[in-house]
Amino acid sequence: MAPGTVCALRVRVGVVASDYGERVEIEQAPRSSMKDKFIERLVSFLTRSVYRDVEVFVSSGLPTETPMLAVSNHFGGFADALVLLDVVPRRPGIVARDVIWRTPLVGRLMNWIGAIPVHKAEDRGSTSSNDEMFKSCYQALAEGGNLLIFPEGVTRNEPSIAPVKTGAARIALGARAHGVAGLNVVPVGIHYEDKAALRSRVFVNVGSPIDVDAAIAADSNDAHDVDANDRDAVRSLTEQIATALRQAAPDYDSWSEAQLLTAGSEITLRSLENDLAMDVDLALRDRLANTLADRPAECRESICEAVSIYHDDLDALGYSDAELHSRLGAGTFVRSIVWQMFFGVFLLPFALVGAVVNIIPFLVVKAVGALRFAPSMLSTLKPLAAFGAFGAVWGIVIWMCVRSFGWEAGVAAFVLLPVYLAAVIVLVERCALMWGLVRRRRATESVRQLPTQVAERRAAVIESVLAA
Amino acid sequence: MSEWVLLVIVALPLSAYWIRSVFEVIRRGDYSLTQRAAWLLILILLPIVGLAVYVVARTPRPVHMSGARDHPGQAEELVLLAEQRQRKELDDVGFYEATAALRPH
Repeated sequence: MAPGTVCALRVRVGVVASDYGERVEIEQAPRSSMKDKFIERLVSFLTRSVYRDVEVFVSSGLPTETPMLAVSNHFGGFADALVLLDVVPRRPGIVARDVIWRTPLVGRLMNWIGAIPVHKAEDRGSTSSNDEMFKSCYQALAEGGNLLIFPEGVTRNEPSIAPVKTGAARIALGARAHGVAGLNVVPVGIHYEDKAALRSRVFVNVGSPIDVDAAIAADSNDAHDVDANDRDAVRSLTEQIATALRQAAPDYDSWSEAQLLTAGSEITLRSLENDLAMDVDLALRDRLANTLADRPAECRESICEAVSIYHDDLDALGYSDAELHSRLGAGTFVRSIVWQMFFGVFLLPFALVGAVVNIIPFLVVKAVGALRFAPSMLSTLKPLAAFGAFGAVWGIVIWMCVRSFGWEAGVAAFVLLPVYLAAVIVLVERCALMWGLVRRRRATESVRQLPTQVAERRAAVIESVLAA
Repeated sequence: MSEWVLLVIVALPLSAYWIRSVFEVIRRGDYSLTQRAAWLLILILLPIVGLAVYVVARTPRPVHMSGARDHPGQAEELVLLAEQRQRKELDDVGFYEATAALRPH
């Protein structure tokens, strides 16, 4: 059955060997049940609500007909799963730590989306065996489905990849030994502009797939005998996964280095786009910064030093590099401001209704954001708090509309509540855009008297990036 | 007064959303002709309920996935060269020569 085909029946497709050697029957679950479609829509709605922009770069073609094991960095907790469920084709099954199932309601949610629990020895109360987990993974892949695993095994607050564990390689090799053909391991790097902030940008960098058959053939004389218990094969594939993941995902020595290398990339890319780009593509910026992070230490230090010196100049001037080089003419400035104000006046009544209805959930999210947790924890808590608080308030408003004005009013409220919230978000973002225009115009005026030293230091940043 | 408020706050955005949805159905390339006709009928015959059903049931637009362009600009060209060097498909000298034209003069 072709992936994506709607099918209401469970179809028996074949047999695979179990962990204990005997062969067990596998039933193929419908690939696009009503539940799958509902989850797909829900995830899509939530992702587009939480992020202003999701950029995806696929370096080479993704497998469409054969199963895929996506391996990703884990910087954002729940946010990572949300983004990847939206981006990875054929909604993947998530392999996650079993401790997550112990959280009230979350366990039910994980079961509902078909997540597979993995037991870790260091988790208290966790069972010691992962036989069931491996069997579920083999079954999912045998059915032609995709799987998603975070091979570091932990959520990271550092901007680097933790040592990659062997689980992903063992699943891939075990699945192949159990008859799964054409399996690819696909490295996926998630880059957040600000992982703890709502309505920021996120970039998903999909690296080149690792063909498991080809990887084994290159390493072993007898590829038929390779399975999850073959230590050399597991070690070799794990190393390949780690290398691919480090190329796709952010992997810096420190937050300071991450900030300076991405700033150096942004300045260089802006200079190559005639300096007019206010927002350099997050995808281009982070892909270039990723390659810089792989350069020798002296190259990275040279870039970081050049960027730091240039930033000192910018701080003294009070403008960002983007503002200073935007060259916003008076005519364009006036036209943009008038258009934004016209748009803002049109949106204002709906935004006011949206602000009144959504003030309580907004305050709840602000309060959660003010909690002193690590950014990776906030990237889990804030979206969850937002979905819970907005969902609850909207439910109450719809119920009140039905009670007071009848079911038609309830249906209208169901359609309009997201529209009102969108009006608030767009209005706030337009106001920020107008303030940005004012600053760009001021910077354009002041750039005429700019000391030559600033231009030289900017050129030094670009030169250091290109020479790295 | 209350009728005006109702008109501006409820009827206007509802109508605008309905019109937007009708145009969206007409222009969706991923729907067959029959699907488009069915959605248009639902939206026209049951404007409010049909709109709510469409909002819930419509297939989300897929996330835009980009690959390397055939004719990349200078910025993208630099990134592609840097990635080739990272994958060891290009050595340092090759990278330096390929990016010579991009250096500030």
